Order: sequence, then C-alpha cells, then structure tokens
Amino acid sequence: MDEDDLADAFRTGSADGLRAVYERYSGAVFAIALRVLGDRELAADAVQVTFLNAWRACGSLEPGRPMAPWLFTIARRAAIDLYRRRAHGPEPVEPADNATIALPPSMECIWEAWQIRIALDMLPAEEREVVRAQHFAGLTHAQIARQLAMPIGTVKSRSHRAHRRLASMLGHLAEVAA
Amino acid sequence: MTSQPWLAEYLEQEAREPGPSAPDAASADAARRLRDLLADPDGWAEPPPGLLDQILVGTGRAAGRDDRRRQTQMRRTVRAGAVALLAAAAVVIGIVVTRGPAATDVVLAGTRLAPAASATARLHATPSGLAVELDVSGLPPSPPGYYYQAWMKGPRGLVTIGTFHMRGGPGTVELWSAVSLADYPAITVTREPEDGNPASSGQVVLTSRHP
Repeated sequence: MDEDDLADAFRTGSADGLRAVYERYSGAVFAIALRVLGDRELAADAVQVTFLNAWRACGSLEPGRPMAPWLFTIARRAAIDLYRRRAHGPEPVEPADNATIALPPSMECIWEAWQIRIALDMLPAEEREVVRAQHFAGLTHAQIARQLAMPIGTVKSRSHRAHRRLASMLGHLAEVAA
Repeated sequence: MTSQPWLAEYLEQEAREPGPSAPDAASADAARRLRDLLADPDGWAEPPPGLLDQILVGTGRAAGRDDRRRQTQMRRTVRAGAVALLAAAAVVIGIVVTRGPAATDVVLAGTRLAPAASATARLHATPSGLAVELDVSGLPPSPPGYYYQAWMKGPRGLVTIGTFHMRGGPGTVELWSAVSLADYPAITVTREPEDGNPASSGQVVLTSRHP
C-alpha cells in the first residue's frame, strides 16, 4: 500500500486503516519514544497514546499531505508529555536522584532517529536482516554468511543494495548536517 | 531523492573509522553519526506484541464515548424543541440507558515478581463507574503486612481501583474505577506494604502490558 492509499485508509477512522498505519510506523514511533524516555514500558505507553491521538485527529490529515511528518509530530509530543509527567508525576518508582536529571534529546536527534528507523523498515526483509547483523550485532560479512548460512557473495550483494537504498533515503540528513 | 554513492560506501564499511570517501569533514561527521544511529539498539527496538490490540480497544471505547456525547447533544437540542420531539428523545434516552455497553476483557500476565500469576479483568460501564471483575489465578496470598492494590494507568498517571489480599485462595475480585479504559489503557496490580503510604510501591505483580 503506497503512502496515499495508507493515508486515505487511515482518514476513514477504520480499524483496518489504523492497523495498516500501525504496521508501517509503530517501529519508528517506538524507537523515538524509547530514545526520549529510555524505558520500554513508558515507550509502549507513548505508542498507545500516539496512535489513539492520531486516530482521534485523523480528520485533520489533509489529502496529499505526507503522513510521516504528521505522525512524527504527534509521536514526539506524546513522548515529551510522558517525559514531563514522569519528571513531575505521582508515581515514585525509584528514589529521585537529582544528580542524574537529564534533558530529553533535541528535536533534530529525534527526527534523525525517526528517519533512520523508517528507512530501515522500508528495506526488503532479507536486506534488513543483513544490515541489522552488520550494524546492530557488529558482524563482518563473513560472520553474517556463517550465521545466516548463505554464500558470502549473497551477503555482500544484499549489503551493497541495502546501503545504496539507505544512502538514497538518508542522504539528505548528511547534506543538511554538512 | 538524491543518491549518494559515497555515503552508501561509508555506511557499509566494516571499520568504525571515518572513511576517506566523504566529500568533506562535515559530511564525514554526519555519516559517522548516521552509522552510530544504525548501531543504536533503541533504533532497532520493536514495540511489545499485543499493543495494537490494546489501541484498537481504546479506539472502540473512545468511539462509544463520542457516540454518547453526540446523543447527549441531541437530547439537548430536542429539549429545546416541541413536546412531541421531547417524547421521541425520551425514547432514545431509554434505549441508551437500558442497552448498556458491552463488557471488555483485559488479560493480565504475571511479572518476574509473580511469574505464575495471571488474571482477566472484565470491565463494564455502569451509571456510577466502571465495574471491574478481576479473575485471578496463581497469585499467592499477600504475606502479613502486605496487600495487593490494583491500578489503572495512563498518560495522566495512576488511579487506584481497589485493594485485596487473596488469602481465601484464587477467585474473583470486585473492583471499581471512576476512569475509563480509553484514558487509562493499562491495568496493573502491585504488592504494597502496610506503611500508610498511598503511592504505588512500584512492585508490579500483574500487568496488562507485555513485559
């Protein structure tokens, strides 16, 4: 389903539309919530709040407007709200340690993390698997070949294609930063 | 979208040192940051299974609330109208009140503090609040000096929905809530010391969220 079809389905407020948007973007929402909150349980709360708020506001998603930045705004706000509530909230889970108070990540950091996760989720599964093994697990091509029981040439070609796709999708981040 | 062969080559390098293929130092810095983010475990994390189901339950509850809000608005309009329309509105109100919403079941799993425990919370709205029947199994009786406390949790914080001890064995606990599942989508049970402190101890023994 392309972005326009996804947005059209979501705009109806149907469960199917919500499910399709969740499948496309829940990983990115969870990733940035985790980056802001540093806690899986709270990040899961932020995901719930994000999709409920987005569903309630689906009528405000204008036709032709890209969904990803719109959802990012809702997700970031949900995570930051939870971050602030945790800082001032009523639930004392652990004793406060004033020496370790930290600010949430900057807007730019969260946006980069969002874009990277969306790019990863758009890779074909077999390429994503190789990229994950290389970057997340820190494996070499030879180690990946052994782990996935495939010829090293296949690993290299998948890695090459995947990184070309990532560079194409993420190149603007390097340009902006430069 | 711009294709950047140097960036692809840079990201693919197995070495962690900045590559010579970047056009300038700033681009190399940006590329290094991207590669660091690709290695960040948070960037690969997946939301817990079952979360979508909870969100769909939340949308169902919110839709029901919106329906009731619209019905309330309709009743106000009708009151301002003719007597005949008032009678019609009364019929509508009667249907809404007597029909009542369907019950919602929420499954709770034991945490590492009570791995053998499980529970199902059946929630149904009443005129005075949300009735919660918590069918508990595998949760040991609370030891002397401790009790169990159930909570509904959402972005606004925690609301307690009752306390119990399970000293009579497994069974159903009747709890009451003044807040909705749409606003407080998680249900948890904690073990609390009898120390007079009304805040949660944070010792969660049952949770509707996947750990």
